Amino acid sequence: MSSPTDSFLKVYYELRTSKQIERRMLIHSFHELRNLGCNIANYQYCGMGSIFFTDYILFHKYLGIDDMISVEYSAKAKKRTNFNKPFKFIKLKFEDISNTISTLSKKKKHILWLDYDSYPDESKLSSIRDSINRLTTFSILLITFDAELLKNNKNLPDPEVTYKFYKDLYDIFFDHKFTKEDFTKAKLPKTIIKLTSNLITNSLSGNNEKIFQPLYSFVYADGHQMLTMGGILLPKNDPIDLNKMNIQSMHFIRTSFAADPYHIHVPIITKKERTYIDSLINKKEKINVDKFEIDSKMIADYQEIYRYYPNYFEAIH
Amino acid sequence: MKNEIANAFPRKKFFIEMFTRDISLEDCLMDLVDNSIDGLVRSKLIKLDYKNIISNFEKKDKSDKYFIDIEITEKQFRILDNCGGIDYEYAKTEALNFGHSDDSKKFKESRLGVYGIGLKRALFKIGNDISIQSKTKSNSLRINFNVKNWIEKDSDITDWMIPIEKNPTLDIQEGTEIIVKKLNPDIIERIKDGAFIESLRQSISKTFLFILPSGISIRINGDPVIGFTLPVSEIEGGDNSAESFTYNKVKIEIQAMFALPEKEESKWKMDISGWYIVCNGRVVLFSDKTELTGWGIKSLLPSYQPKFRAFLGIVMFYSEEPENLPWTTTKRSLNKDSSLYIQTKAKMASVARPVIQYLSKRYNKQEEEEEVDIDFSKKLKKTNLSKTLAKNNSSFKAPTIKKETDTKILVQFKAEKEDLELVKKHLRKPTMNFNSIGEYAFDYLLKQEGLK
Repeated sequence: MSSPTDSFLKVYYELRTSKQIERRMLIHSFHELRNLGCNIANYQYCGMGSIFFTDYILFHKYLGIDDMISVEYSAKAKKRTNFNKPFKFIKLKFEDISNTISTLSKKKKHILWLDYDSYPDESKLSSIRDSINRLTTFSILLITFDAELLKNNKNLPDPEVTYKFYKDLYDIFFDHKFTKEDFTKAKLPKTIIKLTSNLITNSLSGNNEKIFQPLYSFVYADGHQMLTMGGILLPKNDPIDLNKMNIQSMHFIRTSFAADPYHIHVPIITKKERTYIDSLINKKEKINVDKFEIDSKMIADYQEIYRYYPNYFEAIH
Repeated sequence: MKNEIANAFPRKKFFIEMFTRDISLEDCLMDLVDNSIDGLVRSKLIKLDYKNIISNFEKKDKSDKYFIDIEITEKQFRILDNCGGIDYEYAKTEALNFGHSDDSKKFKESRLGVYGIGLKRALFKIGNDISIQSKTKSNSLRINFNVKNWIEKDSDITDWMIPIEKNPTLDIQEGTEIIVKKLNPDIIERIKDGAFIESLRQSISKTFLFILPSGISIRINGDPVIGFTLPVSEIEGGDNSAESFTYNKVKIEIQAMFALPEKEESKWKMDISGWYIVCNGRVVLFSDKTELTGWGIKSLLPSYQPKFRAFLGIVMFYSEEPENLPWTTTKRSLNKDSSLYIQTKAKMASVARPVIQYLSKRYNKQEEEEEVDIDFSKKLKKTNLSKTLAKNNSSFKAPTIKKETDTKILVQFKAEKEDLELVKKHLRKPTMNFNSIGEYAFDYLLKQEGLK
């Protein structure tokens, strides 16, 4: 059983730029999913709203979803969570998410975000399996994990310790070809994604109704390195043409978990620089800035995410 | 190069000596009981689907119309039933074959007979002189057969045929009588071992617990076998976890719940707890706690532990084509590689998960097990199987208990006495006890790391 880390007490959620970019990219892709016949506004969203409910606000405002459940493991901040609930229609549940999964309606289509703030453990893997089992076709499953190295006795991040931990955890889903080298900080997210995808494949073994189509494989860091993987459950015997959702227009989509994840790099630039660079943007053309010293890599990073980059201002309420 | 043909013949000796080794005597005899029950199904006297099984448990008229009498002595084995009998044509062309042919579909109304080996395997295992007589509404038959004589000639496939008598006058009801004499020495030893009859009785009681209520009385040496009562329960103000689905025309119903504790002690018995897997009404696995039902398999269920002893899970498969069910030929285990079973196992884990998690949480603290045990068992009410099975699609709702469970765990570690004294001095608290130092250190870590 996982214990809660109450990360909302540590991190000011609303200011996590990369996570916000990820949310906005997801929303973009959800819009495109309409072309596959998914009426996203009628989906039920189930996630872990914490006390900030950032994803709930976005998903309601931009997607029109108004059937929402937020799950918190711990009832420690029950009143506070309730107080911060941005919309009346959000249902709060204080329980282990695995309980919620087993009660998700089979008549609805879902967006289920297992938005964990820590690394995988047994109960999380069980929840993934249960979700794959429970979710109806055309439902979307997202999984977020912490992807930092685990520490050794000297309190230092250690690939060897990490390797051993994941080998033991994933057990029969572990690929014997993996070595310590696959558990360096840079490679860990992709490795976890591969291991988890083995579990997903296994969860669907023998299933004659649905398949899992990967769509997302994000790596980002607002302090901690995190990964989000996900996709959509599609009917097995009725192939869907993914190209209908304009995949080429979304450079962050990954239709295979074997592919390199999409890294959300947030360049640190000033408001003024940003406005200037924006003014140069012309479709997909590469931008050159010679007006001031700025790395071309930074410009390229920025150009990939500018549509999803949130604005933060100081505001006096 | 010239293409020749290699021999690939069946050998009688193999069927008689080898394939009787993979099955226990109890299971062999239950194969014969299956044959009797299939007689009732073929004669349309009973049905074994989910709906009928449920309604049988509700039936007010408890009198048994049908009987299966088993008599076992060191001299002779006999099974007699009034379960509709074996049709002459079916016996002549199909029933005695080793394995069913595709043609047998026209006779395919059986639900428990799957592979076409049970009857033969049982008879070969038991003894040497076999006589079968059977009567249906329209005809009758008699077969007398000596295994030793039969085995001697094995040079041609026609040597495998067995003489059958058509429409003899028989002194039995519509049904079948099988008598085996000159029992095999191993079988005589088992029968004499003092425990065999009881072991058979228990096996039948558990295996046919869902079928006995359809009005069948099974008697061993004259004593009727009482069907085992599964201690199903109802949660006061809560719900069991249940899911049903269909896979390639097989209907599957999964239920996970708390077993009803023993009355006197409010205790659950380990040997009752676990999964019950049922194929066409016949129990294949009884209180299973192994990997076969997903225990101890990564991302399915945790390894079975005593704290789960209140867990009871029931899985019922039903198909009109029994070969589509995931059972093995002995009907005592499941085919691990069956896609149907792999899918079902994943669903079993999901259905069981909330119940298992509830139990895990209840027992977080070992010392308080006793107290929590009683508290929670009071919320469980006795119910009957029909009620439980009828609710085949519900989400788990835990019993509500006012008492807050203790979430604390005792942590112990050893430290140098010298170091502990050092801490006392450093904190300027000479009266501080060692326990408090441990607690202090832990709180310090939580604060320092910004965890709390």
